[in-house]
Formats: sequence, structure tokens, C-alpha cells
Amino acid sequence: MKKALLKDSIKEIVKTYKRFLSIMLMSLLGVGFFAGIRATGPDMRQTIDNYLKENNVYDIELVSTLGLTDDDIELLKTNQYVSEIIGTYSTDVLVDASNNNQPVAKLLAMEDINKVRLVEGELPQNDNECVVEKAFLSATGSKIGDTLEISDDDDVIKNDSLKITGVVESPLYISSERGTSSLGTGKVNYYMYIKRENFNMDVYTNIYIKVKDSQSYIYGSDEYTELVDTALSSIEGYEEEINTRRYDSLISEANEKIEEAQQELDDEYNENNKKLEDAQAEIDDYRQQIADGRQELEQTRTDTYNTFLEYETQIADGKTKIEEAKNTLESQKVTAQENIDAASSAKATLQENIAQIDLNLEILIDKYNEVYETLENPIGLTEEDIEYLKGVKLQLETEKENLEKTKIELSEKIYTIDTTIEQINTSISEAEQTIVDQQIALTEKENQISTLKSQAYQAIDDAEEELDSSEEELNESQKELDDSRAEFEEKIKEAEEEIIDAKEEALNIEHPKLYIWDRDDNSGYSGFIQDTQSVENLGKVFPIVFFVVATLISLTSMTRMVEEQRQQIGTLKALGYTKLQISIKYILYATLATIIGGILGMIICFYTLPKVIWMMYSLMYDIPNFVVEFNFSLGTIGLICAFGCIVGATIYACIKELVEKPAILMRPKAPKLGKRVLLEKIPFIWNKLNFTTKVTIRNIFRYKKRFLMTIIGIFGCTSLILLGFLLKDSIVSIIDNQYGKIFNYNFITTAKESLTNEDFNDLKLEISENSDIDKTVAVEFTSATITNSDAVEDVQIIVPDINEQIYDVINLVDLNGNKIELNNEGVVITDKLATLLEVNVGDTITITTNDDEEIQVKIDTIAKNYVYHYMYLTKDLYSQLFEEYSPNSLLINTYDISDEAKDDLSRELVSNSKVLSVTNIDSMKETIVNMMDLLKYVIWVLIVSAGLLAFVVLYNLENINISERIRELATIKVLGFYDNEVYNYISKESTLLTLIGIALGMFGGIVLNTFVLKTCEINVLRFEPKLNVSAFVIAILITVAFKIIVNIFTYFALKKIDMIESLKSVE
Amino acid sequence: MSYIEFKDVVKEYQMGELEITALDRASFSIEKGELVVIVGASGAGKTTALNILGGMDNATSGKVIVDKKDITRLKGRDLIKYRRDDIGFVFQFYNLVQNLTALENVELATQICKDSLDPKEVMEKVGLKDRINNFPSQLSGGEQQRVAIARAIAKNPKLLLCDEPTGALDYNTGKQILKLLQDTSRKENMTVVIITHNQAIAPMADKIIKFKNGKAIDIIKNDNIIPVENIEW
Repeated sequence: MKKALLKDSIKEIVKTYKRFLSIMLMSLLGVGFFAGIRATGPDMRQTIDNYLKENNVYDIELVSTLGLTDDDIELLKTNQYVSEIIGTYSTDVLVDASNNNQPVAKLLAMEDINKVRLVEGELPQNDNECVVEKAFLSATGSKIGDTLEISDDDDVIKNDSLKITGVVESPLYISSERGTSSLGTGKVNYYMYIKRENFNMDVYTNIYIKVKDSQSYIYGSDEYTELVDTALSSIEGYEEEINTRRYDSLISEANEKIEEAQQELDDEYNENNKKLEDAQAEIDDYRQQIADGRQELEQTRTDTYNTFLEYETQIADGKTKIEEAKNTLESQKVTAQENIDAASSAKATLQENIAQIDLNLEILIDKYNEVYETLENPIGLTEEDIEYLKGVKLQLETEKENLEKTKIELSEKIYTIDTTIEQINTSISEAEQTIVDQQIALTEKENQISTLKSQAYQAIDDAEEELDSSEEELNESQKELDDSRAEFEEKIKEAEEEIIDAKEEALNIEHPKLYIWDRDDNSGYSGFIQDTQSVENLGKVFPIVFFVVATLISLTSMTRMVEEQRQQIGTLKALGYTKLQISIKYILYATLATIIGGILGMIICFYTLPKVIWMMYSLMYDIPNFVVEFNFSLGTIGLICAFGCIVGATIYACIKELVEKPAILMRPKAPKLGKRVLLEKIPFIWNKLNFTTKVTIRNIFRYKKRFLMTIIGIFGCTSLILLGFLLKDSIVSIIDNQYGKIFNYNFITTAKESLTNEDFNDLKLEISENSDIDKTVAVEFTSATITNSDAVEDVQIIVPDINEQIYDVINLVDLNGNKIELNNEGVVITDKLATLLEVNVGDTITITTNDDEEIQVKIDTIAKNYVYHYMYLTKDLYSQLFEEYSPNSLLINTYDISDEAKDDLSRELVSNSKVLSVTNIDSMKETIVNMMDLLKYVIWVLIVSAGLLAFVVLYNLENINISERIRELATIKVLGFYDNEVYNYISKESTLLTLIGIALGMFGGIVLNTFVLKTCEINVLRFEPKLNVSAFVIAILITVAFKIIVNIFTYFALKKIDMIESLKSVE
Repeated sequence: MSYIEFKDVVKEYQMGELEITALDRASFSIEKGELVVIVGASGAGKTTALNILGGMDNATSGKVIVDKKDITRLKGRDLIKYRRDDIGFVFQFYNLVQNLTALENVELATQICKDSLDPKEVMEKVGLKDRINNFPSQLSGGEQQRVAIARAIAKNPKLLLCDEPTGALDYNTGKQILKLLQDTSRKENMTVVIITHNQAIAPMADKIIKFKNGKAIDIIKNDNIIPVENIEW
């Protein structure tokens, strides 16, 4: 290159530094964005690869449903692809955290493979120590040094009390996903590491393999995938052998155990049975003895009875006799009485007679006395009368004699009677005395017998009592023995049952299922790789917008530059410089601007853009040490593209000029022809327009290239700015959509696993009575893995206790917003899950439960959902497909209460002894919202770069516009146009174009937003383009603001136009 | 006092470290309705004088009075207003707005002045009645220059300044243009200043001002005005 030309080139750059800078900036933006965004994917991959290599992370993982053994390791070691292999343990446990919650932790052994990264504290040195993840400490409030209690029902670890010695990061869990578990809510919440020695397991749960030479490749690269795929299929060849061996060994183990148990049982039976039988025999012996004794006693009793019976008979006889004697005596007495009565009445008669006699005698005596006195003093009496009276006296004497004689007779008779009576009485009393005597004797005898009898019976009773007590003792012994026997029999029965069960179990030993996984089966890794692909997809679009706009602008600038220097080119040509020599100046100019800008762009963007994008992803992935690399090849591609476009355009412009003869070049280029536009054919409108408008309209159609460039430029910028805001709105809106429109509950309360259904219902009742709570819906919350061809996704399963109630807390609608009715025909899965699994309504999916059971089920409906994957089904279908339905969670919707009240409620819920854990949706929501705040970095990058682009585009185009039309502008200035009139004259055009660009940019933004949301959608999220008016308004305002800044520049540039200079030159 | 007084005007340019004096105390005066031709070699300062007179440039020192207005004191908007209302410019290269038709080019000027003439009438005057709807590119050089003159006079300026109006035109066309200017001056009593390096056309002027080294070295009042059509060169 000639020295003069070089000098000229450098002078040109200095002179037109603005143009140079603008081309440089364009190149910077174009190349930088292209390189920076494109480099992010590889940087991310390099980062994860470094991380995985540093921590010696497996390439292939083996998991068997029945565990793995050293034999398997020995077998796999023989495989040519295996360079490192290790068997290790892991298990899910419930941890008693300090805040009453019982989270599920995945307990892993620290190994040389999948090494953990110590973040804080120390690694465990002893069996009773552990390390946890950071989130565990922050969520449970535990500290390093605390001791955790592990619920270890199956005794899979030796020390259940573990002291936290430090915080680690596990390379196995780079995302927040910790996998599923059969414990708790079905999700693993945290991981924890303990010493391998603290595990108490017979078999390995996992085998990790490093593939030979895999270290040489980057994870995610085709080479790596190919190598691991080959190794994987090679290892799959052992599947049958490993499974069969494990199965056989389990079966023989089981059989051996059964035999042993049987033997033990038999021995036990024999031994104890004999003892029991001996004891029984003894007891029986005793019993016999007692029976004999009883019999003897019975005999004695009978004999005694008979003896006494005899005695009693005798006594009775005696009594009878006495009775008889009494009776006889009585009758004798009656007879005697009769006799006595007769005698008495005779006596009475006699006594009457005597009394009569006495009376007669008395009368007689009176008569006699009278007579006698008359006689003694017979005065007046005749003898006759005396004689007579003598005769009567004698008669009376005789009669008296008679009477006295009769009286004596009668008295004698009475006496006789009295004697007889006396005799009778005496005999009777004698007889009575005899009877009494007899009776006394008999009574004496009777008493004697009775005493004897009672003595005899007492003796018998005593003997019997003795026998009874012996028997009682014996019965007790018998009872004891019976109990022992029952116990023994129970034991035997149990043992037998156990053996039967064991046998059945042995028969039911499932064929083991061996899973051979590579890193892609780790949802964290595959998600990460998918995300790098999203970023790469993004890298395919974004930079192109920048690139195209930047290139077009630079191209226009350079073309303009060449055109401006037409005359110089002509002169040089006339002077005899070759075409190359002439054009080299422009090529050099373009090259320098492009290369310097491009390299600056690379330097800036290679180090900043990936970091900004990484900031987003670092929220989702725990991967330290993000690697930013100067990706030379990528940078070069961008640079070559920019170089090709800009320099190519320069060369094209040069050639276009250089083909002309020098003479033509020396003359000014014929100005673009004025042309009428279509609008002029409508005088009705056209005539109403003022000049500036007319000029503007004509100009727009005159400079089609600029017209297009401006629109494309503004369109691109507005699209990008709008995209930034739309993205923000769209991403942030999913939170409200999910936790406002789909899920209407504030709390998930998980009940302790031990609760029975009744206890659970009590809990529900108890909770629903809280005055803050509106709705309480019982569900079974569990999780599973769904597979369809290559896609594997974790899903949360929600099974309502009462179908209708689910609508109280979950707005279960299909994609068209229609309410979904759960039915027994199939399951409802969420929209994103269906997309990822590539399934539709009516298709069948395979669900793998936490127990590795595979279940086929039909999809009934697809539900609208934004965050995570869910599956809904009826409890009938659930019981039919899975296991017995038992609700474990309560979805709670509170009334509209303050945050404090919600916190209180949360505390109250968790303090309930039946509650395992409580999740506050609001605080979860807040965490996500805070995370989303970081989005603004990305938005700002977008806005700043798009704004910069907008500014440069507008500024450049305006500059070109001014320079192309400088004469026209100078002319109107000469004509006396005021500054603002000049400004209006020129800016109307770009304003109109800007407006068109903005309008188009609105659509562009929407399209880009939809595209970006589709490409960047994270697996567990469903983005829905959300078009907030504010986003449009802000995007428009920002573009307009840039336009105004450019306009201010334009205004001053116009003011500075030197009329004389502009018009003087013979262009 | 003359209609236009150009008194001791100095114009200095700073070209890097070099100071160039374009006008060195140049003085002349022009009466109303006069047709003045300024002649001189390239670099004599005649264009600079015209630019200052036309309000396109400021004098370093000295005084320029146009119709009793001291334009050396005008700045910014006032200077533009002076150009807008009082001055009509005709350039060597016409400087028409390519995107406007002939008539529109004229209207471009008239729409901004207060006492403008009717564009169509002016177009008729300059003899382009039939070409008013043509774009500049559809017109010949002479026709374009006529449009330019029409644009200048339609503003009804106090002063019509023409910088080498025939420089890009052939002989006959040039003559027609000069005739138009002479006629305008005569019929409209318009003060017209024409710059040319062609001494031959000087006789058509009322006044001839000769420039050399930034000075008006000679101001000749032409008593023998020759109509343009009679001038040969």
C-alpha cells in the first residue's frame, strides 16, 4: 500500500471518527451479542463438566430394586469400558427437625465418586456425624454442631443420632429436585451425607461407574454421549446375569432361612411339647389321686350316712313308740277321764243325793225337833196326838235312821268313787311318767347320735376341703400349664405362619429390576443440558436481530462513505491507481472498524453476557465456579460474519463506483430522481398536505433503502425492549396464575404417616374448626415418575377424598377453561407434562411408583397448570391402580387474613401432634417472586443493548440522511428556514419511520416473546405469553426517548450545517 | 445613504494555523433597483462579500446596511429572518429540491415569507408556465436555473443575489438567464447582485464592482447599459 494512501486512510478515520465509531459499535454489538449469547451454552456446559469432573461424578449408575452385591461389582469390573466402579448406600429417612417439621432426607454415603464439596465446617470423621445441605439449615433452623434424630425403623443405619459437622454441596443434586420418596409427602426434601461405615445394609443400593476415557470429553457433547451410550449398552449386557444371580441368591437365602426356621421350630416343638406333656401327666396323676380320695370320701360319706340313718331310724322308731304310747295314754286318759267324769257325775249325783238327804234330814230333824219339843211340852196336845206324835216321832226317828244309813251308804259310795278316780289318776300319771322317761332317754340318745354324726361329717368335710384345695391347686397348675401350652401353641402357630409367610414371600420374591442410568437420567443434569440448549436456541435468534441490524447499518454507512468520496476515487483512478489500491482505503477503514469493534465486543460480551445469563440459572442450579471462556472459534464466526457483511458491502460499493470512468466519477453523482408517489393521485388528500409533509412522503419512497433500514432498526430495537418487559411480565405472571388462579389454597398440611384414617378425619375436623380457615380439603398427596418413550418426568399426584371438594382449592380446568370432572376412566395430567411426554388425551402413560411398580393408565383430560407437574385422579381409580387410598394431606384455604395471622396459623398447625409438616404457599410464592426479581438483570441487558442499538441506528441513519441531503438542507437554510423548520423538514421523515418501526416492533416483540418463552421454558414451568399494556407503553416510551435523544443530536447537527461550504462544492 | 452600504468589511478565516483574509476592508454601495455585477478572479473575495450580504456569513468587522438595517449585528434567528424576508439567492448549481416539482420548489420559498408573490405567476414570468409540474430532473439546466430564479424572486426579496448563475450553463441558456435577471431588475425594480468571473457580461449592469485580494478595487457606474441579448462573449 502506498504511503500516501495509508496516510489518507488514517486521516479519514480521524476525520470521520463518528462514522468509524458507529461502525465499530455496530460491529461490537453484533459480534459481541452473537458471541456472548452463543458462548453461554458452551460456557454452561463447560461449567457443569468441570464441576462433574472435579467431583469425580459417575457416568453410569446402576440401581436394582433388590440391591446390588460385590459379585455384581466384580462382574462389571471385567467390562472394558469400566474404569472405576464403586458400590454405595443411600436411603430415605425422616429427620426430626427442630421446628417440629419432619422432612424427608436422602441419606447418602460419602465416597470417592460423586465427591461432595465442603462449603462450611468439616466433613464427618465419625459414624455419628453427618453433613447437610445449606437449605436444610436455613429451613429447619439447625446449626452446625446440632444433633439430629433420624427415624430409622428398618435399622438401615447404625447411629440414629447424627451430629452436623458441616455444610456440603452434592454434585448429584444440582437442581432443587431431590427425587421422590415413599416417605412423607412423597418428595425428598434434603440430602445428607454420612460415613459409609454408618450404613447397616447387606447390599449396595447404587453402583456408580466411571467410563474409561469419559474424562476426555465434555458432558453433553456428542462424543461423550456416544461413548457413554456405547458403554451403557455394553453394561446392559449384564442385566440378565445380575438380575438372575440376585434373584437366585435371594431365593436360596430365603429357602435356607425357612429351613433353619423350620428346624428351630421343630426342635422347639419337640422340647417344649415333652415338657408340657410330662407336666400334664403329673397333673393328671394328681387329679386321679384326688378323684380317688373323693370317691373314698364319698363312700365314707355314704357309710356314715347309712349308719346314722339306722340310728335315726331307731330313734324315729323310739319316737314313734313314744308317740304311740302317748297316743295310747291319751286315749286311756280320755277313757279314764270319761270314767272319772262318770264317777264324778255319779259322785255329784251321790253328793246331790246326800245333799237331798241332808236336806231331807234337816227337814226331818226340824220335824223331829218340832215333834220332840211338842212332845216335851205336850200342853194342849192330846195323847192321841202325843201318841200320834210319838208314833210320828218314832217314824221320824226311823226315817232318820234310814236316811242316815242311806247317807252313809252314799258316802261310802262316794268314797269308792273317789278312790277309783284316784286310782285312775295315779295310773295315768304313772303312764305319763314312763313316757317322759322314755322320751328323755330317747332324746339323750338322739343328741348323742347327732353329735357323732356332725363329727363324722365334719371329718368328711375336712377331707373334702382338703381335696378341693388340692384340686384347686391342681387346677391352677393345669391352668398354668394350659397357658404355657397356649403360649407354646401360639408360638408354634406364629412360627409356622411365619414360615408359611416366608415361604410365600420366597415364592413371591420379585424378579429384580435393574436400572442402568447415565447422567441424562438425573433430572438435574438433563434439565441443565436442556437449559443450555434453550440458551443456545436463544443465541440463535437474539444475536441475529442485533447482527442483521448492525450489519445493515454499517453497510449503509460504508456505502455512503464510498459514495461521498466518489470524486476522490475518480481522481485517484485518473491518476492511475489500481482499483485495489483505491478500494483498499475503504476496505481498511471497514476492516479496522469491524475488527476492533468485533474484538472489543467479544472481550466485553464473552465475559459479561454469559455471566448475566448465568445469574438466572444459578438460581436454579447449585453449581459453583461458572466458567467464562474466550471462545475463539465462536468469536471468529461472528467476526467473520460481520467482516464479510461490512467489508463485503464496502467492496461492493467500491466496485460499483470503480467501474465508472474517472471522468464520470469526477462529476457529481446525479441526484436521485424526484418521483411522484401514489398519494399524489389523490389530490383530495395530497393538496391538503404542506410541503414538509409532501417532501417527507416523497422522501420516504425515494430513499427506500434508508426507509427499510430505519424501520428494521427501530422494529428490532422496539421488539427487543418490548421482549424484555413482556418476558418479565410473562414469567412473573406464572406465579399469580399458579398460586392465584389454579391453586386457591394457602397451606398444605401433611399428617404424620402413623395416623389412621379416623385420626386423620379428626385432624381434618379439628383444623376446619379454626375460625381463620375457610376450606379444608383432604387429599392423598404422593409422587411418582411418568415415562413415555424417552421422556421421564416426576409428577405430584393429588387424589381428593371427596371429588367435589377439590374444586374448593384447585381450579381444575382444561386448556379451554372448562371445569374438569374427575372420573374413573383415566387420570388428569397437567399441560406441560403432556407436552414433555408428547402425549394427548386418550393416550396411555406408564407411571412408576415410589416402590418401582409400573402402572399403565389412560389420560382422560389435560389440565391447565403453570408450575410443576400434577396428576389428579379419583380415589376409586387410585385404589384400583395403586394401593389402598389413605389421605395424608390437607389443602387449606384461609379467609382473607393478614400475613401475621397466616404465620400464626402456620405455627399453630405445625404444633399439632398429628401434623408432620406445613407448607405456607405464600412464603413459597414470595421466594419465587424474589428469585424472579433477578430477571431484571436480563431485562436491563436487553434494554440497554437494544437501546444502544436503537440509538446507533437512528443516529447513523439520521447522519446519513443529513449528509446525503446536505445541499438540500443548506438550500432551505439559505431560503430562510428557521432551525426548527429545518429540523421538522428532516425529522418528520424519521419520526414517521420510527412510528412505523415501533408499530411493527410491537408485533415483533410479541412474536419474540412467544418464541423465547417456548425455547427457554423450564421443564417444570408453563409460560404463557402475557401482554401487559404497561410493557407496550414502556417499550414505546423507551424507543421514543431514544428517538428524542437522536433528534436533539440531529437538531444541533442541522444547526451546524455550513450553508456556504455545503453549497460551494461542485458536487 | 445608499440602499445597501458595504463598509470596511473584513472577513478572516481560520484555516488551521493559517489565517486567511477573504475580505480586507471592502466597501461599496448599491442603490435600490440597481443591477450590480461583481467581477473578479477566483479568491478575490466576491463570493464572501455576497455571502455576508446575503446573511449567510458574518463579517469579522465592518458594517453592512441593507435598507437601513445593520445586518452585521444580526444573529441567529434574526439573521435567518433577514434571509427569509429580504434575500433571494440564485446559485450556480440551482440547488433545487429534487423531490419537489418546479412549482413546489417555488412554493417552498413562498410558504415561508410574508409578502410572497403568487408562485404560478412567477413561474409564468420566468417562462415555465408549462413545466410547473415537472421535477427538476425533468428540466434542462437553464430551466432549472429559471426555477431557481423564480424561487428567489417569488419571495419578493429586497435583494436578489446570484452567484455565478450561468456558470453551469451553455452560452445561449446563460444569456437567457441573464436576460431574465436583467428584466426582473428592470420590470420589478429589484435590486440584483450577480457574481461572475466573466467580465464580458459586465456591460449589462448598472454598476460594476471589481474585486481583487479582498477589496472592491473598482466601482464603476455603467452609463452605457447594454441589453443582454446584445452582449457577446
